[in-house]
Amino acid sequence: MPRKVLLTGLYTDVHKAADALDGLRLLGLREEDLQISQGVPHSSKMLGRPHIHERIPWASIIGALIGFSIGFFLTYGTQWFFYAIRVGGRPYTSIPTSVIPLYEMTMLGLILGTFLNFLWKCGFPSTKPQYYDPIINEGRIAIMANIDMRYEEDVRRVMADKGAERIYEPERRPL
Amino acid sequence: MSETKTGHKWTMIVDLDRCTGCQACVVACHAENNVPTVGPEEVGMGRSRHWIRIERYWDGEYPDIRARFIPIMCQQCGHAPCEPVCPVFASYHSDTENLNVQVYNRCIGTRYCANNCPYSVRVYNWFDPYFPEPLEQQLNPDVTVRYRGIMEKCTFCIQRIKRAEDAAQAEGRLLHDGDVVPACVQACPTKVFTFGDRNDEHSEVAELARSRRGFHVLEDLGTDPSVVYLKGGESHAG
Amino acid sequence: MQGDLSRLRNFVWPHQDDPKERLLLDPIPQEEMNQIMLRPMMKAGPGYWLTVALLALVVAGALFGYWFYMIRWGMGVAGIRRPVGWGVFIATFVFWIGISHSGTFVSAILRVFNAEYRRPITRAAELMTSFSLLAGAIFPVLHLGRPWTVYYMLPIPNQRLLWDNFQSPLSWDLLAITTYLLSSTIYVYLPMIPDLAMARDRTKGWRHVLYKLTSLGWRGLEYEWHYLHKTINIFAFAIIPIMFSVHTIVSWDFAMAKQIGWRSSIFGPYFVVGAIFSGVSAVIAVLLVVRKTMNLQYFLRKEHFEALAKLVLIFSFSWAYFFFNDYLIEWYGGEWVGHQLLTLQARGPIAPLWYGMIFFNIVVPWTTLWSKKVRQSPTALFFIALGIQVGMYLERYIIIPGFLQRQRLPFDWGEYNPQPVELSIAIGTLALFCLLYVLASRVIPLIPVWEVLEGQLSHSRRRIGKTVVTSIAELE
Repeated sequence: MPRKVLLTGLYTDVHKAADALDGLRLLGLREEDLQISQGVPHSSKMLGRPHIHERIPWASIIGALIGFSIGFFLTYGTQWFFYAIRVGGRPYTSIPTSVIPLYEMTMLGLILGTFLNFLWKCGFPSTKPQYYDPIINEGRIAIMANIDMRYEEDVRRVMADKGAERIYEPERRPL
Repeated sequence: MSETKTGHKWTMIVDLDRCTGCQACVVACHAENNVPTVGPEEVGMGRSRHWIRIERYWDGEYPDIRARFIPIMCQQCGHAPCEPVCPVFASYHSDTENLNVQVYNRCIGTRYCANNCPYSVRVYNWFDPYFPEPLEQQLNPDVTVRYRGIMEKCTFCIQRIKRAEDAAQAEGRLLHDGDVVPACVQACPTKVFTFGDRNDEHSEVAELARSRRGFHVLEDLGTDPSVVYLKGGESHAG
Repeated sequence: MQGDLSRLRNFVWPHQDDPKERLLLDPIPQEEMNQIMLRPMMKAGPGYWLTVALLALVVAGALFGYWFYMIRWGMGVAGIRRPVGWGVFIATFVFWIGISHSGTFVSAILRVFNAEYRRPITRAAELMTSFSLLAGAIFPVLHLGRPWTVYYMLPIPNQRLLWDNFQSPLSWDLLAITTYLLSSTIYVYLPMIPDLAMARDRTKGWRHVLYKLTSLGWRGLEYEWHYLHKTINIFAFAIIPIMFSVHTIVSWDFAMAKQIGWRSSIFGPYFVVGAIFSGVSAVIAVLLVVRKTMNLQYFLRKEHFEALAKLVLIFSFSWAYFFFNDYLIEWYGGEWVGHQLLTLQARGPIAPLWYGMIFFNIVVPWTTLWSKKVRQSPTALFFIALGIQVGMYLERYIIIPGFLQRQRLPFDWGEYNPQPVELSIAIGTLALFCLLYVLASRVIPLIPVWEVLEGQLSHSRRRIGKTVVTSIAELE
């Protein structure tokens, strides 16, 4: 089993980084072998990377539905199932007065669902040591390539040709 | 939807043609319901604690001045504005007695009900109650003594209603007209007040409520009060 | 023909503004930006600690001291009375909830409308939202007669079958403010994660631990940025209706009542517009202070305050429109009691407050903010913004205890005189807000550097014909 090695190339602007990615692709590297870390959100289109598609925000919708059911329980549930109390000469439950708690709980569910989905998708919070270079917050873009040891020389050459500031093997470090 | 035909519909008739403004009803209510006095400074600030108050309006110019008296107590509204706004259900409508019930233990003191009452009949415990000696000896054991932070109001002497109902049940009969006498009704020297169950067609209140002289205070608000005022004399007060 | 040529002789090239005046056309290396933002967070002079000590003293004494005094002796130490059940406490509560609309307006609505000048100010404004909500959320507990029983308002299932009344506007308040507090805290936190990661890499000791925990292991990977962007977008769109609903629900505390003057169907939009009005001007005031004390002149420039000042003028017009609407309806066809309220405002004991409100909310902005010179002068803007805060507080004071003084039965009219307890507690919450903000400014990075960089990436200068204009690229 050929040993895998991780190489990081630091670039100072997005044009060089995108060119480097093209060069690496020509060498035969697949998209999954490449990972980009940056301090400014250059979009995947700018870097020429595949776009992550997500048509429907399922987490938000499910969160909203859960919120709606909680709101429904709060307003209608107790009056129907537990202990009905009459106030103001009105019916025990009414749509106008129930709309507001239903709406608020739905929005709360939507918000929390979206946030929790974000945490889950990104694998946050993670405190174990990761491959990371703080220099990305100084205007650098780091391209990490996970490659076979046999191709290390070629990859280094391509990265250097496209204008890498520095090429090195990263270490896992506590964040 | 507001009032059920079953159960009692306790109604108070107040005859304004007979009211002399003597305030005996006010004193009786204080005595019966453990309502403390607050002292002159607090009254000066507007915090008098009467569950029933005599509103006095001056009518006319000197020397033809007349004082009009109108006793205002909780109107026990059918569509009470104070009930839906309490966040903890401390004020709700009793379906059996058709009264607006105040639960002292549940009240957290937001005072929304008082803001919403168009008759301003709800009074608040601003401080702890103080009964100067020997008044603490005449506290009514049937009624809670409320501490600071709680809203209270006239209850149509619900403790007397309950006692009469218990007595009637013990004797195995229904309530008769005149069994329940709230404190203000009992104390009035000129028989301004008549109290009874309007659902009982033969009661005095049922007859008086149909009187030509009858009106509700602030009727246009649609609160459906259970207090009928009678006035046949000159201009109405209020 | 002759006339045309003579006009050409006087032709002058149009004046071009210096592009470097605008933040988004004035890029500097990212590390420099990081240092500008981190430096005031790390160092603090004696002035800072003196401010913190003073504010903490005011909070401990004026807020908590008087609050415990009130809990011990009862609500009677305040000036409220029959028929004025709500006074300074609720007016201040509505005031703080109003200020809380500042942050959401700047960071959500301006983001949705792609207003580029929002980039450096979003976080400082959103922090104002969170802290003003905290300051305001004290009041629903504080004004209770029995604050130790406040948990009765929480819908916790219990064996006594006791429950909240969800038909009550106060229960709606509870839900709305909780939702808004959670949403806006998450919304200020999300864009902060990359900046917290940046701070994590450049600090040591307890700061490093704090930033390590709160940046959740952010590494700036593509999928992290992608999900962050998607989530922020959803939040921006979702939090706008939440924002509108919160102050509408607070206004319904009054609009649902039978009290004359409160019973107005326009209260919903009226209060929301008033909230945004007071909120945006509060942002101006706070940002001017932040800019001066933390030396953030690179990030917060004339253009931002000018844009905010224009917004304040527009909202002053909107507020005046709703105010006049409410006034005219009562004046024209209102009942007798309503006219008593109008007399109370114009000639009664609260007349100075009413005229003061009109002066600060209408006269001052309308006569000053149209001028570019005023909009670009920090001192003028600061005082105008403070004046608007005073004016909007007076508006809430007039509506809440003011209107309660007149009832339908004239025997029940009363005058409300606020006592020192209430005023100290109100000032105590102001000190609490300032204290929280001052403490946060040393821990939370106030400027979203990555958003500014994103903006600088999209801004460029382009020649069209004979002139050079700023061109904004659509990055997403």
